[in-house]
Amino acid sequence: MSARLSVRGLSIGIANRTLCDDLSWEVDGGQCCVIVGPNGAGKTTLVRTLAGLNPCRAGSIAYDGDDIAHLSARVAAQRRAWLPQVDHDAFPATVLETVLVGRHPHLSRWSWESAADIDRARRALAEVGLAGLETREVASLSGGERRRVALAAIVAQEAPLLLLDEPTAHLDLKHQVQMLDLFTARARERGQALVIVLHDLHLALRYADAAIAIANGRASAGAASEILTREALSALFAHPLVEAGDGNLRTLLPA
Amino acid sequence: MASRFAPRTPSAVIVLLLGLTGVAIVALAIALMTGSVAVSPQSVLRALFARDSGTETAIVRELRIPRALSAFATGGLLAIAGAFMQVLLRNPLADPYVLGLSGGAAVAALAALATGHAAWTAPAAFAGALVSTLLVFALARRERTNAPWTATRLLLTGIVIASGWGALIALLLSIAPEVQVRGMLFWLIGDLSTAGAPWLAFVALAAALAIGLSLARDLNVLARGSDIAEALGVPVHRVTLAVHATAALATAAAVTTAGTIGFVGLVVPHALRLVVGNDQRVLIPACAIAGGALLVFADTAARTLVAPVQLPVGVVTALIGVPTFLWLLSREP
Repeated sequence: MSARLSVRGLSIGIANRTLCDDLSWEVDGGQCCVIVGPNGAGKTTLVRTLAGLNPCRAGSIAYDGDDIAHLSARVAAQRRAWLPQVDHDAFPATVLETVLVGRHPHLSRWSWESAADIDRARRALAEVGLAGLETREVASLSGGERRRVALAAIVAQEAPLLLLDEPTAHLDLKHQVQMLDLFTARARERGQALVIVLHDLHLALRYADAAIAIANGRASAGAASEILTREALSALFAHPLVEAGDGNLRTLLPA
Repeated sequence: MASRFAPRTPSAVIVLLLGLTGVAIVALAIALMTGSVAVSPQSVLRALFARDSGTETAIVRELRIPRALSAFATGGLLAIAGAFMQVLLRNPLADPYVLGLSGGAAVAALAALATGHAAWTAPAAFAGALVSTLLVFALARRERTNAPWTATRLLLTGIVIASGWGALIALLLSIAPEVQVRGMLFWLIGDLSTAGAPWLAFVALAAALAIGLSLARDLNVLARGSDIAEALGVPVHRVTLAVHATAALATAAAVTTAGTIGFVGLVVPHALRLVVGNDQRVLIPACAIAGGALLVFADTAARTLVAPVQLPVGVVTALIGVPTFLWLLSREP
């Protein structure tokens, strides 16, 4: 299954406020598209809309050519995985149980998680560096560890399109890089399309192939080299930025 | 909760459920043997399986079996409905009555009792329960959103409506003729001495169990939040409405059979969650059996503890359940 995400003439808004208007762009398998923008610009709403969780005002969204308006919840869940910005657990659960939830879209009504599903969940935990914590209570983990449990559930879901809302929140430096390395490498190997909301401009510059900048009711999409420039981002965040480092370590810092 | 017994395979679940079924059978056996007339195990077996028309057989067949089966079905219904509400509202304090259902049932049933129409108590309770549920859902609905019912709004609306029913209950109790008040109080606390044939409750129990099991894995995902569930392929709106409707009908059937028995619906799902974990595929059938067994035990105690005086069973469920639950909670690491 190919992973292409196509967006045509997308308009979204909350109440009377327009967040973006007439946005069209595509993300192909193996590509990483980063969404940047100031607080309240609509990054989370955009990602939720792409996941089919929020309605759009106009335009269409398609996974591999299929308009999501015509996909059932179950088929949509086999096509894309969505990581919410915050997650909260009302009921206690173990780490392995939480990751196995990612297998839900692949199981029929009466079937139980097979040994293969449990194996996938264990491998996903190993990939995010949490092997050995399978039987721990999620509530007993640190914030960063819980974030990685949520990421392991995304890995276990094995969808061709991944929509990640601030996957690096609560992660320390090492794990920020490790997780983004993991997801971009998996995307290249498996032809998955990645859409990631990031606040850290250094990480955005380091991992983005393409980018969307969203602020003040407008969104522009393009190659990372066009969107993530010092001038454009200074204007986007309404704060002057200076460039530092080069190559993989190039970054933009607030002046 | 590190539930050491949490089963993860269908065969482990079957072993666990068979164990609980054994407990339920013991509870039913004790219920058939004890009472104002003690019946030996042999006589119980004869009453169950042989052609016989002795007094003991009549007591077992005509009095104790219907009452014990009513108790079992009512307890199972309340525990399942409680488990449903706790998941749907993602609130461990939810019980079958949290959306004001018991209040609606009570006002209608007490009005029937107070006006001397005791025969109408059960149908009135059933109607009152459903009217109250529909009222809460109508009032909590938000127009023009893709999530017309949120857990918080339902809870708040349910609690406010329940307070309203509470005031009407107090009003009915204070103006009712003296002779009716004792019966009204028993109904409010929950009492099986007036339970009729257990079949309505059993059909409801079977239906609630079947619907619950068919949606159990969806509910597991739903317990993690409705957005996550939608993103993982659960048709959240449909599943939520189906489970709310099932919980309401299950509770209405229980209330119609035995009045507003408290405690079972809140605490049985919790106690089982401490032991078997929060997998609904295990929790829901376990609730049906353990809730039933608890109420059979409690009703046997209610009939015999201070015989010949019969206590309302709701008093006994709490007296047994509170220490049991506190003990389970204290063992939690």
